Amino acid sequence: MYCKSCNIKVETHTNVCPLCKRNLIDDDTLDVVNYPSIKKISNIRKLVRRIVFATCVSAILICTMINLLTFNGSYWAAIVDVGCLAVMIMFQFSMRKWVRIGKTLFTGTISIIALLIVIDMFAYKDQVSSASWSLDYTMPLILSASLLTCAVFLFFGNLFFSEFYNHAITLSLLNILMLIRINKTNCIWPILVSSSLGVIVLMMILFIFKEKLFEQIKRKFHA
Amino acid sequence: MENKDRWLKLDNAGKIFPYVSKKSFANVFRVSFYLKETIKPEILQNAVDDLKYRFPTFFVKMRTGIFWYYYELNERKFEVKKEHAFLCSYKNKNKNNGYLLDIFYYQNRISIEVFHAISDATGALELGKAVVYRYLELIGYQMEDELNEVIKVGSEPKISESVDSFFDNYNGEKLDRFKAPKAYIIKGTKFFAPGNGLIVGRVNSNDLKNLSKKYDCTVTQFISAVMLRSIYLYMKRHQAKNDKPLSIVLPVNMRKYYNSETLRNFALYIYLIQQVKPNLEFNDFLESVKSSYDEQLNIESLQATLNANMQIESSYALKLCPLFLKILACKIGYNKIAGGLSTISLSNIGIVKTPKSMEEYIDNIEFIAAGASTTHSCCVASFNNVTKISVTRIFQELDIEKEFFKFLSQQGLEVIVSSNLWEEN
Repeated sequence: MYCKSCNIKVETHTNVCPLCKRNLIDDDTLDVVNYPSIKKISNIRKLVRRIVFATCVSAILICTMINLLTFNGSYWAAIVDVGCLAVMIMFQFSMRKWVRIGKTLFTGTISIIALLIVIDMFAYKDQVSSASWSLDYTMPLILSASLLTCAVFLFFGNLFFSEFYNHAITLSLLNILMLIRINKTNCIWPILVSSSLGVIVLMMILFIFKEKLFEQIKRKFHA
Repeated sequence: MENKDRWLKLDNAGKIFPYVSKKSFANVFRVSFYLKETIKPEILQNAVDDLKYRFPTFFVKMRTGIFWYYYELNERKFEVKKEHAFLCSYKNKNKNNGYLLDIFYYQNRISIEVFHAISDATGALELGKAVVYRYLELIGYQMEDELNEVIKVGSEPKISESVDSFFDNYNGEKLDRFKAPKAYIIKGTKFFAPGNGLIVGRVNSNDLKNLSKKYDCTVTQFISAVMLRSIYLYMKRHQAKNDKPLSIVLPVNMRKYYNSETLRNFALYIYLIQQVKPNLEFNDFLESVKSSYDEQLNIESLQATLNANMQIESSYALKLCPLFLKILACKIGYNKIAGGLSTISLSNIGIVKTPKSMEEYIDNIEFIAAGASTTHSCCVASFNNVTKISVTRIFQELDIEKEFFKFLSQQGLEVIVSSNLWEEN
């Protein structure tokens, strides 16, 4: 195709000149150079994300408002608020690809722990109970499960060491930290499981991956 | 130390890109090889797999440190993909299995798209040549490379290919560097769909060279002057009130000045500046370009720029500043301090040399940059006596491209234009 106005040849599949938009004169001597055109991108993922976000924000606003209007000394809406925030955070991370699996696991665990602490603070406020299901059962077991998953990737997936070691260390320390609840509960077995697992994984990282660990720390500090 | 255990600090030029890049400011460029036959994706995948460990500075993932980002070799699967409509799209470090480059195929075209933080055009061209060479080998063609012009499978990666040549050539002296003034910024109507419009003009290399000789200048100087003239006419037509100069930012390949073999970034920039006056003619633009060349394109001036860039990186205040603060500061302050220094970017990778055995299977080579700090980017590549001049834009208006190619045509060059027809989306 040829544009008389610009005095140029055009080798794109079009009837008008890309530069001046005037009609082209037919000239079949050239091959056509193609570039892909936009296909309608599926927006389902975006739509689902927006629906979840809108639902959570609405729940937070409605519950907080009802709680404040009918306030009787209990901040029960905090459980809904933190629950919704945890859902939003986990949803945001789980929508990402496989490449951030370590971060997804870690962020999900921390969100649930935050939720459990809030549940314990508000749901058990007026009750006299020696054991709280959220802090004494669920939290250590969630932390143990998360650490175990991390450890599996760390020990059996050589590929993932640099992506998991920092999460594994932090989760191990959190597991060990569960020991501070040991005098406040009658049910100590979940805490013992959790803290023992924390110590074992931490020791294994320090002994088995000592060189790799120091190498990673060196990299983090650009030394 | 084995390749897989290696890690790399980002080079001096590459350090800024991860902080400031986003979807609308991707800092990605592309080198495309047009073969004479349709690409076979599975063979291309094999060719890339064969070369992955030969190019350890490209197939990396970016990790977050306490003070800086750094690279580690990426062991995840790298997949070649069918080209999509979004030219030089943003390379998110959390997608594409963590890779900061893409290798696309489309009809008879193999394209290497690279995030500027890992390499510059010269480095990407070496990767592209190696991929195409291996691809042709795997197809079953008899390939020969007597002059060793292509990096091949089986050879060991050299340390000299992965060094930070900015660091190696920094001499610590404080020299007076050229300071570019704030430049005229082109205004226009944005596309309905986000992305870049592309116009590629094809001309005969010898004809273009002879035309440049007629004006007593190099091909890059000639193209720069034509581009400045086109922007000037656009500015006049749109009656833009402007007292700032027109400015082209031109990357300079530093490898030839410092005898470097690095495949990472090693380019500095010069600014071709034209003060705006009424009734400027083509020769006025050419004179300005030549005078900017004389002032800035010399080893003393380039060394001063290199030293100044390295001194910023070496300052203790920056070294000890945590990464999240650096990111925050760059996101807030980069455009105000470092932005707006150029009207358009122009880059010429020159004549691409390949072994004779490759030439008969390659039709032409194209170089495209998009999502830079300027609204328009012009890139030039020559191969097999064909020069391709590609201009990307973020606006619907095509006046600059129209003036540019019309001028070349008026000078007697046969211009063949192709477009990605982005305005039709």
